[in-house]
Amino acid sequence: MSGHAGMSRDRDDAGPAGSGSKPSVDAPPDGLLDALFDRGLDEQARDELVLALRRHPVRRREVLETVAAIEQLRSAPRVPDLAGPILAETQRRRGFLTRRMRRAVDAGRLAVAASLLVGLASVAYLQRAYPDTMRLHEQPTPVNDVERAVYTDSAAGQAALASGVDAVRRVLPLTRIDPSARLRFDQGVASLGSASGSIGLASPGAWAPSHDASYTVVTLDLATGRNRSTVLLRPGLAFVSLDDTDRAHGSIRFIGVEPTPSNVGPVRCVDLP
Amino acid sequence: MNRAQERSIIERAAAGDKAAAGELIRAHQQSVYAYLLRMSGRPDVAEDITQEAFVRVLTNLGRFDFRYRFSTWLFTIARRLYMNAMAKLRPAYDSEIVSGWQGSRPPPDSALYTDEQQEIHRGTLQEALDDLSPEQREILILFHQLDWPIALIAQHLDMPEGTIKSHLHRGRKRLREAIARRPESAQRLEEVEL
Repeated sequence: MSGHAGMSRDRDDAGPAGSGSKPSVDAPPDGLLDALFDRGLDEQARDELVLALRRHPVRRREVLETVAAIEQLRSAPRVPDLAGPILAETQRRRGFLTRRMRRAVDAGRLAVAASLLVGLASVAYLQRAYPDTMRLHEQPTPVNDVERAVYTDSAAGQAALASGVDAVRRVLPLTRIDPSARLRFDQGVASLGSASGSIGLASPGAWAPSHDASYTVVTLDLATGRNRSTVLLRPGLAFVSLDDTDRAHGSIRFIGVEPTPSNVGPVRCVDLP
Repeated sequence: MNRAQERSIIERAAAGDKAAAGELIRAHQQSVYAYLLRMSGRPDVAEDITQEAFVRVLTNLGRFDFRYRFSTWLFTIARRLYMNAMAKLRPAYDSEIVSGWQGSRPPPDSALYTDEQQEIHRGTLQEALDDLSPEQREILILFHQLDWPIALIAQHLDMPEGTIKSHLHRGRKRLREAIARRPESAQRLEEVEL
């Protein structure tokens, strides 16, 4: 409500500003007084209102009482300086930085910002001077090569594995000969040095210790239906050559035998290529 | 202190500058304390809440949005703390209100007063303020004591401006009547000139 000082004959009636025909008895309405205290009147309207109030002592007194109340409200109370306790509590909860620390933080921020700027500038320069270095060309991917290499390696690995498995399979125990039988040689073991002849044993499919317990005798079932036995002259694998008859049938070629030290343990026959 | 200076001080305080934080406190403690003192009528409550409000503000300065006025933010926090303090005392407050209905009604914030309240001297103004509703009291304080514009008060209290004005008019009238009833106000009135 600016520039408009409504007066009324009755104190609560509003009327046009300064248009009262009997200004000596017109009282400023409540709305106008509220506008005054709401800082809603301009200078001219306020002057008109002050003039009107001088002609209306009751309203004037009310305004003076209100002004007095507002003045009391605006009077500043005595305020203790709370900065000390507030800063102490803030220090306890968050902490303040020393001047040196703040400078370090500022310098750090500046360095990060400068690094970013230099980085961006470098990228921009490279892009301009050497556009190819910043461009990603479409290139054949090495996936196919990898796939091929994997297949090759897999095949080689498979072959190696098969070979290894085969070798391992060859050293696995093939036969376990019953050690319970005690057999007798029908000729001296010394004659088996060439290992090409046959040895006659009393019972096929069994083994027997030699006279001095340093040999192991193995009897083999041959594919031809005949039995073969051989004797190990010393510890370790022994090789037995077959005669021509056995070779002709070809179902068993060479047989290796692992001796036991005292001829009481199991005997392992190894099929060697 | 203009907005640019205040912003500079806030940024320094947020960066951990103790001196800047002290400047902020001294620039605003008067108004916050006065606001809380008028609202509560108790210096100890006003002091405690002022202190806590500043500590919270200073520990969260990094979150301050410079689009708003710092004082508005500070007062919002102070007001919330005051309301929380009021809510914590609510049970005693309610019982006093119930007893007040049967006889002379206690002031709305009487919960803040303990058995020692008789020892606390309250001036004419504070007694008159205590007679107002909390809304009227707060609006009168924000408008006349702290010079907040009506639009800002409306935003701060989440009320329409028309409602703010109504509270202002009624509160002002009641305050005037309450003070005018005091015998010592007559002499003071003679000193006031328009």
